[in-house]
Amino acid sequence: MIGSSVGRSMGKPEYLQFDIDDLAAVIRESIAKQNHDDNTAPGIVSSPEQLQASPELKLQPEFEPRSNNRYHINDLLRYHDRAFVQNAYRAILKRSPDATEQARALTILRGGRLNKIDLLSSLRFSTEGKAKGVQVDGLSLPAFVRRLGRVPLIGYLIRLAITLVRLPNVIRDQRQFDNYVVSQNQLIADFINTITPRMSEYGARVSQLETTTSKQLEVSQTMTRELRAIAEELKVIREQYELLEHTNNAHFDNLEQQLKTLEIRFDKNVQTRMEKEGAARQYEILKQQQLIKATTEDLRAEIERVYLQLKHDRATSVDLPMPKVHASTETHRLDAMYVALEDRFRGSHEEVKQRFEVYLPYLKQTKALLDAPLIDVGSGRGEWLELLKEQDIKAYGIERNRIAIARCRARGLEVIEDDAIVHLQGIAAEGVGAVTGFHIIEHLPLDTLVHLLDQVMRVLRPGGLLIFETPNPENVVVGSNFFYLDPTHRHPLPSQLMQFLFEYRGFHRVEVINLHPWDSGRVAGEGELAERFNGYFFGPMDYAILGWKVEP
Amino acid sequence: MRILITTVQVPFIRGGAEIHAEGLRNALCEFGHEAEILAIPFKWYPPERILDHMLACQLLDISEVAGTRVDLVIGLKFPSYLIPHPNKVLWILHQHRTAYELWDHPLSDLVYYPNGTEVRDVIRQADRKLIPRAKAIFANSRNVAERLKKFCGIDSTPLYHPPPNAERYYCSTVEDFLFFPSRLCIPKRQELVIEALAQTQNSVRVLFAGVSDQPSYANKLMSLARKFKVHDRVEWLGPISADEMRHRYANSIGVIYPPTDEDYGYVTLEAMLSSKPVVTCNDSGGPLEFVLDHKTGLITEPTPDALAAAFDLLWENRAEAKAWGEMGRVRYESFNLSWEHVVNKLLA
Amino acid sequence: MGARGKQVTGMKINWFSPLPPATTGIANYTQGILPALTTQADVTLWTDRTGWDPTLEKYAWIRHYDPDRMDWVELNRADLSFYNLGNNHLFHAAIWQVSRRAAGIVVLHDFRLHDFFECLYRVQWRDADAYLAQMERQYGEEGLRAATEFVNARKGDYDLMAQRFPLTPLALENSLGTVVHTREAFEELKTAKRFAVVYAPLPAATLVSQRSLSVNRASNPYGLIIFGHIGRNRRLDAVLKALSELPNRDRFRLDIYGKIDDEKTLRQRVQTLRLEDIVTAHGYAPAAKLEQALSAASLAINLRYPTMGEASASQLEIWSHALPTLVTKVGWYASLSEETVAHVRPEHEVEDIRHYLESFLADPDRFARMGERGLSLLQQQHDPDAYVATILSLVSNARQLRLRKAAYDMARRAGVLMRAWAPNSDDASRSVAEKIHAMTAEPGSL
Repeated sequence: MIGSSVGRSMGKPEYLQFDIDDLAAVIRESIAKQNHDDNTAPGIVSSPEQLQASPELKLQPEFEPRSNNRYHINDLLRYHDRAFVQNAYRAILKRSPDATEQARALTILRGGRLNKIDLLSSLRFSTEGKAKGVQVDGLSLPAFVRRLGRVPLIGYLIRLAITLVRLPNVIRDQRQFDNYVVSQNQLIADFINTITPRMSEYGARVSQLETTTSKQLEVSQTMTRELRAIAEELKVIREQYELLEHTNNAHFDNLEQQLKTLEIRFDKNVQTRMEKEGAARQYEILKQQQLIKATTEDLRAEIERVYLQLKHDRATSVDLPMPKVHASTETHRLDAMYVALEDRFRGSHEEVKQRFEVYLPYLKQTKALLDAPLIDVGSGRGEWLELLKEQDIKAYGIERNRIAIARCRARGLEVIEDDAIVHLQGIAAEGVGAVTGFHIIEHLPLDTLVHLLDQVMRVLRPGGLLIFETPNPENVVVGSNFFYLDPTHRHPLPSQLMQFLFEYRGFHRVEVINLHPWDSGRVAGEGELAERFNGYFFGPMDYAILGWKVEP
Repeated sequence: MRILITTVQVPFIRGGAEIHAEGLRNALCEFGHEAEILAIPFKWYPPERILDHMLACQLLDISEVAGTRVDLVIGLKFPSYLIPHPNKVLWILHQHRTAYELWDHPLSDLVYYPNGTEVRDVIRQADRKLIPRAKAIFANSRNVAERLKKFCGIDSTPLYHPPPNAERYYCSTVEDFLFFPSRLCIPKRQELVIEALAQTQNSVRVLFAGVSDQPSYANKLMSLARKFKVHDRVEWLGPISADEMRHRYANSIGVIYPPTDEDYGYVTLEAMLSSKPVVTCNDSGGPLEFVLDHKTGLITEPTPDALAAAFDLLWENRAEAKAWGEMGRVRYESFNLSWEHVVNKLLA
Repeated sequence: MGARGKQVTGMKINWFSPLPPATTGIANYTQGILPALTTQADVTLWTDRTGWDPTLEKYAWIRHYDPDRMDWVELNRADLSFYNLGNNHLFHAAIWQVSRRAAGIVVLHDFRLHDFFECLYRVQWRDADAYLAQMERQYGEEGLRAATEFVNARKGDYDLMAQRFPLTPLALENSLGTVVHTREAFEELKTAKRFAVVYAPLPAATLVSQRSLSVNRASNPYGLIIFGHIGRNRRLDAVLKALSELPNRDRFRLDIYGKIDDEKTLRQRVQTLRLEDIVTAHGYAPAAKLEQALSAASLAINLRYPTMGEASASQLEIWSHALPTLVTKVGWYASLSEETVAHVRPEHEVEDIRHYLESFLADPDRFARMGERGLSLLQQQHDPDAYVATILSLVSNARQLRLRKAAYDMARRAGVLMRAWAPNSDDASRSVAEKIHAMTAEPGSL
């Protein structure tokens, strides 16, 4: 009664037949077909289930060797650090540097003893370089001048001349470098941004599982809670993971450990559940367990991959300081020296206090301060706290320098001895009206800084304010000299970088205020040159960056 | 005779199969034949690539070379044993295992592909139809022969061969360690051994020799050892020379070899040659053809506590361990494993 | 766990289909054959929705899936997968996607799938280019041109496109075989070599007469009934026109059950034609109420024009009430015998409907007999057990179906590779074909 081609009787249905002629016909047809879409064509097509690969993090452009053996010097100068050394060797000597050569070149470059041009010319005019005969346009003149500069007697004069002649270039280089740093950070940020949705996708996967489970299993309520906790923990892991770009091995191990505990917890949970449940439920749970496992595996693989990538890229890009998140801080031996240092270089008590007045209007706008205190991180000599006290704004400081603390307390100011982050971690969310920090962030490794931002974000009331003040590297003298007067400074923080970080960590209405131009040092005269010169050398020496926590 | 041995090669990877093929070639040459190894490349993913390789093998013509006849072809590995020849003998090392006993198994890859079933069915069909075209069919071990029978209904004769340089193995003064030589990989189950160590009564020490296919796996094993707090009782020798290998065999209390459903496994034989007892598991396949429980070694459940008990037993009863080892050596001799025997069988 | 215990055959099936309470006949179809199917095989129902009628769990495992994250292992554990495809992209998109990756049997509920693919690409995925590309791939330049015009037109002619470019091959190209419910589809597809084509008439939900004996069929006036989703293809206009032209239309009452696409126009039309006393639109009716209405009716009107080549589950339902029916003489309906239905020619709709209504008044018994014959046809040809037997015969031949498909795919890939170096030589093609055949064909077959 069934259709003709299939019988209910035994015997092979005719639809199973195929013969050599049929196959040969298919082959011929396939040969004959021109320009056709073999890829979209059907058949056994397998793209196995793979995680869509994340975009690769590339901090420097790819180097492409030229077949005509001719480069312009700028083709090579645009690389930095390790990539520069690698590419210089590949271009000029047509090989990669061995480990020793690379290490030596990097030491020299990073130490500032020779610059990139020196390195290029030494390669180009070495015996090996001459033999290869690669032409680098734009190299010979600067190289010649640089060589002259190393001749002892006239060297000093030459170097002076070079410095003067190259001043605009130096400035440009400095700016380029700033931009470079910013753009690197941007790249990292973009990368993290693309990763983040993936991570929430994992979270979503977990919560989707959660939904199915709760629908099917009454008993699974406990499990649902467990899943939720896992989703939470995944979130926490994700947050930590975002810090991975600067984290160290220990941190990573820790993450892995957490993932493991999660897995173990989950396994245990499922097992106890399974004992109590019927076969049908076991089946479902098993499936879900597999999924979670797969998800966790994915997550782990992802983290491992990103971590390796970052490690690799960190190795090949600018040397970022290796962080020590919670370094032992029990040495107070140098406290007295820092106090003296600050006394000497930051200006008199009254001067400093007066400088702080610029912030008062911002505090007045901050309604969150009406019923919540201000915390000044690294309150130092306490001028700011004093000013706040005069203004009747409830505030206290956090400081680790015991001499500074003693001084402040002597003047009736409230200062707590603690590490800023540790302190902030210990207080309730949304309990603070404003946080300020003057000349502290340049002392912090980048990951600590980000951590600090996050903690501030957590403790601030909605509408709360964060102010940091830091030396302005846009002023060449500050960036190249003054900044280093304080040996505990890490690296200059361009305002663009800070602005980015603020925004990236969720602050709104981020504002940069340039402060303290060195007016008395200005070169007299009108005209663009004077303007630019004054701008670079005597422009604002500090800047403040302000950000607000969004009000709902 | 002019003989071609067909096998496959996964470029840059070398293991037991390569040694096996070379051993056979050397033996054939020694017995006066002109023999060469013909290795075709093999790639097993995406799965349809397997089918393409099978087809490619079938399209090859090795019946003669430059006008001179190839007298005999000995096919060793899938899919090279599909290369047609009028006078073909198969000595199957193993079939494509993920289409058979490893199909729905944690080690499988094929089952994870949407077209996995399709490819599995074609592999099985081709084996079933084309293997019997050979004049004679031998299997590398009883285990392989049994699978061939079970899945394809094809009868074959197990044909054992000696491990390379069998004559150089010896036994020497026992030192305080068990020896586990193998590539570091999941099927060999080093992880299980580490877990077992955490449960031994005695402070049992294990020396692992061998490298990992992926560095990350070696790291994983090491951190596992740390996790179970047995890291000071294990030693990772990494890649060691054949001399050192024999030396370690010779000085060990016993040899650990608990892989998952191994086809054959030289380790068992090398341990027996070194007069050492072998600890293996009841799902380890090949080793079970040689090891006699409580006579030449120990066969346990594949669980950490069962293995731990076995380790303790050897550790505490050195005399018995020694006796079992010697019994193993005697048993090895009884198999009469020699290339001469192999060559006679294949050329019969 | 119900039927799950009965693994007489040891067969295991993946079944991809919309599931109740999804409002599609295909969900009901699946529900209908499930009891018979699961007595012989272990069935896993795969759904991309989160809700389903829990009574299904008595018969089968239910698994939720996401086409982008398929558990291929689980899929590979079964003997064969079945993919139910119809024209509604909301219900069948995910199913089609999986079927593209893992070859199985496609159950074609509509023979023309142009609507499905057009909506999938253009509406759901917002990718008109992909639609155009597929049209070009399947129908060459002509297809591309028509599709481009269609995309650019403000109001394209869906029906014409579906007739000319059904796009059905796109649903079948990775299949091991297809089950079709109409002769028409079978005739069109049977020459395909790469996959099996099996004709199995749509199974009836039940073979027992559904006519409620407690409900009397009204004879004065006679009840006419139209039910289902009432779109423009249900030809309501023509029915109303014919009724209005009928001198003794007072002897009929027309009841319309189901959602009406354009209810306002219908009401206006009814008013204009002065049919308010005769025509009642009831809207959606629960099953029990519809059953009662069918039992009370004397003649069903089940017109479809145009048709997507589907077999009509509602026709089976009408027959199960032993009701005579007016159907359009097109597609599957045209293949029905004059003994069991009355055919309305699409080009003479009003004329034919009027004619049948008049004949009905003249000889209602003749029509009643037509309904009885419909019921017995249903019992003979639309037996769910026979349908299930067909499905299971495919499962028991799954291995060979896969071998055959793999063979064709290998041949195609070989051809693609040979294109680079082989002139189209018969010898080369044939020797490769022989080798492929040697690997895949059953021993003994040519």
